[in-house]
Amino acid sequence: MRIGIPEALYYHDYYPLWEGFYRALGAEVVTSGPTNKTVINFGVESAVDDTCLPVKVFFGHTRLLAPRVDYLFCPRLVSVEDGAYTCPKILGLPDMVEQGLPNLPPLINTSFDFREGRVRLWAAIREAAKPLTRNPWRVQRAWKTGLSRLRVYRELLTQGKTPEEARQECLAGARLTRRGGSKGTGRSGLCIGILGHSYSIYDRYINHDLTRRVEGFGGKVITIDMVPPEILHQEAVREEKPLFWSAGRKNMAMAKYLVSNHQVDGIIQLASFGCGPDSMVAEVVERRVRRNGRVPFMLLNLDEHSGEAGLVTRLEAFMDMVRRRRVG
Amino acid sequence: MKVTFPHMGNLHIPVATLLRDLSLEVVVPPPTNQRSLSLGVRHSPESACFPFKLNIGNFIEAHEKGADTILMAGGVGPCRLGYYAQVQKEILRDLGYDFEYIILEPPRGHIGELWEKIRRLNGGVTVKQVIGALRLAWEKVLALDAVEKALHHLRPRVVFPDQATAVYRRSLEALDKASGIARIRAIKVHTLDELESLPRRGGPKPLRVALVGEIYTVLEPFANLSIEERLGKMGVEVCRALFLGDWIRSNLLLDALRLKGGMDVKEAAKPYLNRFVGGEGQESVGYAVLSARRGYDGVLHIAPFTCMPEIVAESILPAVSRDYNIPSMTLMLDEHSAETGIITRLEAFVDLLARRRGQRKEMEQLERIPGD
Ligand code: SF4
Ligand code: SF4
Repeated sequence: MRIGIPEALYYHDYYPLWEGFYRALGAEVVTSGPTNKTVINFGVESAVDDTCLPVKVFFGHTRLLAPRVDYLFCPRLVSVEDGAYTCPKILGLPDMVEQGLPNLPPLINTSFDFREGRVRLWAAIREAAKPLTRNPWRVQRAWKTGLSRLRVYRELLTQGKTPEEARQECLAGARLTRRGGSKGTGRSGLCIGILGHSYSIYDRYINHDLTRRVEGFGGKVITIDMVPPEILHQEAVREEKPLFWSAGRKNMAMAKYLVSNHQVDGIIQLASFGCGPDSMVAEVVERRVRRNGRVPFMLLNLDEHSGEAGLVTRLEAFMDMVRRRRVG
Repeated sequence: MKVTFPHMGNLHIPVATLLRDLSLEVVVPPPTNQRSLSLGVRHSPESACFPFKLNIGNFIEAHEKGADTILMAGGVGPCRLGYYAQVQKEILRDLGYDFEYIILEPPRGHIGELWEKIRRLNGGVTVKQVIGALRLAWEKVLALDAVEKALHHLRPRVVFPDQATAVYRRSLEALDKASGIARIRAIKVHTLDELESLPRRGGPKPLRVALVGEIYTVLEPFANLSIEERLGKMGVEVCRALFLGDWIRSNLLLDALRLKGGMDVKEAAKPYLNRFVGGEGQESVGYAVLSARRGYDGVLHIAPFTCMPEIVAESILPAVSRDYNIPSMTLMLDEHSAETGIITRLEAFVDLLARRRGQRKEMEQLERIPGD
């Protein structure tokens, strides 16, 4: 049985979990591959014009994958932590996909709501496993496998591995080795914090290979996944009203952390065109960072038309400025 | 302390009444206008929702009239409204406006907490005074909704739609000033009589269009380019599901998640969207289904550009349209929406509905001809 997992939206956050889970249940896991021109075209064609770029990208991946699999994995991730949602569009994602794309294989559209406690979560996990097995013991074992994969993956990200590297190592059977946080930033070179949704930061097609480019300009990159979650959590709950979007919450906390710990020489905030949460989160982050005045800040809005040349020019200017500030 | 709050349709009438009756000084922002729009747009993030931008405009204009405290609704997500106040605070602060904020958060927005907030506004207030003020304000909400419903019903049926609109406007003014429950009821009855007695035009029954979508856009004529009036003048009856009272009930008084919209709407939405997605997304789908079942001629779906729950609804409405054979159209509105473009689309939509009705009539007549 082939289960298809689109390489979009929460893929970068949870892939090893789903993959580990379904493999352990005996399924073949098929992914859609990195975003490319076809994916974008499919997405723009199939999703409503008004939606955000990441949802269009998800539609594109899904359409590409649909003819090749028996089931499409498209869960409804309502909430991944206490007191927070993902986003209204993620809440409605399976419904949008179902109504918007013709000729789909059956969807695995289980709702996951981590606020609802263990019993409900367990029921959801079993539901997600239904196409393969109803044996609760097998499901439980598979879930454990998935979770341990995810833990290793996250740890590798914290150590500064890219998601591709981390996934490879997970597949090769890497074990959990606590190396005590990220490899120190070694403040000799420039260090640039990149903020945004995981699907903005890690989708190299969408962001025109931003990370590599920053590195090409001699900057080291630090992303949200490289800071231990506990630290971000502490920052997040100190907000007067903690955000009710998980990704936004982390983003905001990360900005605070970077500014107050003199960790970085510059901050690049990614935002997707048409993203509701980004419009609010990026605004607050920008205002706070600028008010603080110590760290140069750049907001990059990503959409399906944003050209590579424009991005490179802006990045160049930004890195120049960062370098000058550092020397001066 | 001078309290202000954002506009949303006729919301200012009951809210100002309530605050005044609590012996507070109130600054109602000037009615949302072109200037509020450009102020709001200039100082808000570009892809913020349209209501957010208009709020900012309202606040700046209220500040010019001396307001120093903002009263706002809060929220627990998943949509942006619950975070408006926090972002607006940052923006207004950078602009140098020094506002106090009183934010009404809904989940725990029960009586005790509300009471505390009221005490913060006015320490000397008594329970009796509060209850009296609430009753009066609520009475105004009921009257406003009744008058508006009658207006929607009659505007396409009278000879001069502008007359109906004028009666309605006068009624709004009178209700705004009214200061006793008996007086409010009298105004309501009088307005309804006046509307009823306007000369009717004959002809076929008006087309009926359900207006669904994001609540602010639905309630605020400035945001929807007075879409109801336009439709009324084209001879179309606007059947709206949500009124001010519904919004207050679900957003300020009751748990927003559980009691919103009522069960039948949720039931109707179920095959298409079986969960709350914030704002009115699920309601839009549910009302579209109900409207089709009630035999309306079409569904008009309106929302601010980039509105998340309504984008979910927009993605799903074509399926409802197809399954129930009812035309639907989505208009996403913001500061860039060109009036002429919108009017053209509206007219085309209404034409389509009229043609379909004509065809249906013909079909019925054909069916009535006895076969040989
Ligand atoms: S969080 Fe933003 S980018 Fe992600 S689905 Fe929601 S609106 Fe789109
Ligand atoms: S429902 Fe729409 S307009 Fe209201 S806060 Fe959400 S996105 Fe903005």
